[in-house]
Amino acid sequence: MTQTRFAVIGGGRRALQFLRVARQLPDLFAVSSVFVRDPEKREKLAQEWKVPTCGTLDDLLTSKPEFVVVCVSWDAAPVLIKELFDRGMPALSETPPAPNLEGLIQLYQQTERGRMVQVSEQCHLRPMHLARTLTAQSGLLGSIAEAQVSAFHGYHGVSIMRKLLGVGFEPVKIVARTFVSPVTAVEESSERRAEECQTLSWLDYGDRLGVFDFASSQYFTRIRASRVLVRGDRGEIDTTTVRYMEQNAAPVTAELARHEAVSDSDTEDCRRSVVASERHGAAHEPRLLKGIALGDKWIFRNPFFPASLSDDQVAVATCLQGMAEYVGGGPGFYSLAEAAQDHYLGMMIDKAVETGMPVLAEPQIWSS
Amino acid sequence: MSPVRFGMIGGGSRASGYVHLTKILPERFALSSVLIRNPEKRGAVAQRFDVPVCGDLDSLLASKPQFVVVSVPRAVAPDLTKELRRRDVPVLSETPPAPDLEGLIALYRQTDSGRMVQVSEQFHLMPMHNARVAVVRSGMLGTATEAQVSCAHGYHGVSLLRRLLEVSFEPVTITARRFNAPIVNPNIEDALKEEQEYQTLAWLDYGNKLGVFDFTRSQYFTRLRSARILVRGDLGEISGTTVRYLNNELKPMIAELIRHDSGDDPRLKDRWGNRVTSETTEFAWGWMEQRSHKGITLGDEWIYVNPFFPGHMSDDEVGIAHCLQLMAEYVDGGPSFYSLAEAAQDHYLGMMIDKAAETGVPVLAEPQVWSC
Repeated sequence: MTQTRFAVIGGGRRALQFLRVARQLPDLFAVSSVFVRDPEKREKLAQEWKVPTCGTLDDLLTSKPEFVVVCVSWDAAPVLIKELFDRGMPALSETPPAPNLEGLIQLYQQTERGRMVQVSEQCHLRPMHLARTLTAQSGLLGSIAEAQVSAFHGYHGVSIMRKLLGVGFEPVKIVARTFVSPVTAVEESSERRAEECQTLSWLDYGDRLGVFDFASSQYFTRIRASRVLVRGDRGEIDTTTVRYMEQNAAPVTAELARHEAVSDSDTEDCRRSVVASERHGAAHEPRLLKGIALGDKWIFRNPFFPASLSDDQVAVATCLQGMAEYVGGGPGFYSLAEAAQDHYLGMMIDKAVETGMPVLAEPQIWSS
Repeated sequence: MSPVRFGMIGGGSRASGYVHLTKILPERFALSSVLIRNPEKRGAVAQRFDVPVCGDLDSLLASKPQFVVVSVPRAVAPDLTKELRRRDVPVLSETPPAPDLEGLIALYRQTDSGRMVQVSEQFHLMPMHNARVAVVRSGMLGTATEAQVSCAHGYHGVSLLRRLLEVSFEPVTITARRFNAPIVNPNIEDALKEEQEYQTLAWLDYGNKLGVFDFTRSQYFTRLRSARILVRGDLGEISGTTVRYLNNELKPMIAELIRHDSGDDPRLKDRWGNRVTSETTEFAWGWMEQRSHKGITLGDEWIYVNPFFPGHMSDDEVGIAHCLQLMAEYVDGGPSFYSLAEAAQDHYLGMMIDKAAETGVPVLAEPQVWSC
């Protein structure tokens, strides 16, 4: 397998995740250079990560990357993506690719409808979420009519919901509200009492329904779990439990079971992992995931096994792999249009909350 | 202990559930007589169930019941409840106790604010729901702030929601929607008939607490649709049967609500889709025993113990048996367990959810006559 050579713009938290993945998978990925404007930050990053760094875009491009990962602030991202496009360099942008609707439309137009741009939306590529999407797409549940996703905020949550529902850019009616309540979050050994704001929304596609539900503590505390429901006319997935019908119409229940190479007993390992996997924090812990099975079928096989990667890192590696194939002429894995739609719907949910009125999200320029 | 002796009016499917209980638990429950007006039906019930029957109220009361279960269509239930109260007989009414808001208000007024009337709402008394309510009441989740209930329709679902949220009759703003989706009905053999069904979703906003109601009819009838429950407090949550909480040292903990059943295959799921994970090693003889529910543990604590073990009963029947037992205690001066006011409020909110779903406009459910 050939090694993919990519560059990174930015030195923040998300940028480091790409460096981490490249370091864990040296046979697959190499960082050609990291562009950080601030000299002090650049120096620190070069020392800590032992990667080539640079201070200008010209230097970055002379390092001959196949594509550039753009990990900068929301405002700066579209400017850099356009600059890269003008120079004929493919960009893998962090989410969201532009801060607002105007910016999304403009970026889409300036890049010839997002040509040579993909977006690094990793949430739907995290193994358990991907396994659910693949199960839904396999037809096992019949035609999908409903998805309830309580796992990620804004565009991340919407992206998973749209993937599960199998919708494109259809118009959708959105009703939303927030609910403020106290939660005791525990970080390290300190207790923090906080008010937190939960967003709940119904996204009505007419023949399909999306239910969005997210409280920020779901990211940070172990006392708030993720919940996902997908329903088709022949079955459903409730988080990790799949209910469906066999050919003879007998109802069957099966578990999406994680298989990891760590434990003394496979069964025990699967069961414990099921509980752990649906906690967001667990997605950042290194694992030796072999894959996810449903009954006697492997739904997902981790192509990066036996590297020690967290679920989030498996997803980031999948994005990098997908981008390498895209640059080589393959199909995209998450286009600018998809990313724009998910961010747009995320913003429309916020608008429905603010106005207290149902809003209609109409097809945008990227939908045709 | 002598059995609870109760009378009953009605011979329908709910009524036969009560009769069945007296057969399973004869040492606990006995029917004094069953009043069925239609002579043909009366004969059929007497023959089929081998219970004393009668055709008028005088005869029913002459059988000396401690209380009377009113299990008739909702349109006629209020009149019978009133008549029984006029004769000073305690009443255990089926849900809902009256068909509409007007009827609920009238019934409440005409029974001296529901004195000696209780309602047989069994959902919160079914083992796993009972255990969840016990967890909330234990305080281990802190103060309950949110409950999402997707397992029962209208007043049944609302009754659970209100118990888990620990709210009473406070005003609440309701936003609701209907959603139509197809479902294959696996109950029809060889037919695999596709049906359209509607799902009702609602947000019940109490200001400082939020209820989320979600129900689609197939959740009652097919194994393709499971029950889903979420309860959140500031110190933890219950999701399905998993409890996440902070212990005394503020360390995050995860524990499972585990069913213990005798005569149990550990891989079975119960009627409500709950995982039956009880490792039956504790009951080495369990495989040979009659199937019955022992109770539910959370960590090293029995959070619920089924007093009707080893009765061979469904969860629904356990719920009804609790109602009968609690009613007997209530008649003897014990506490109210599900008053006319509670039942009226749950049915009222259920109807307000329908109204909000039909109009698409949020509605405010204001305190009613039974709230003070």
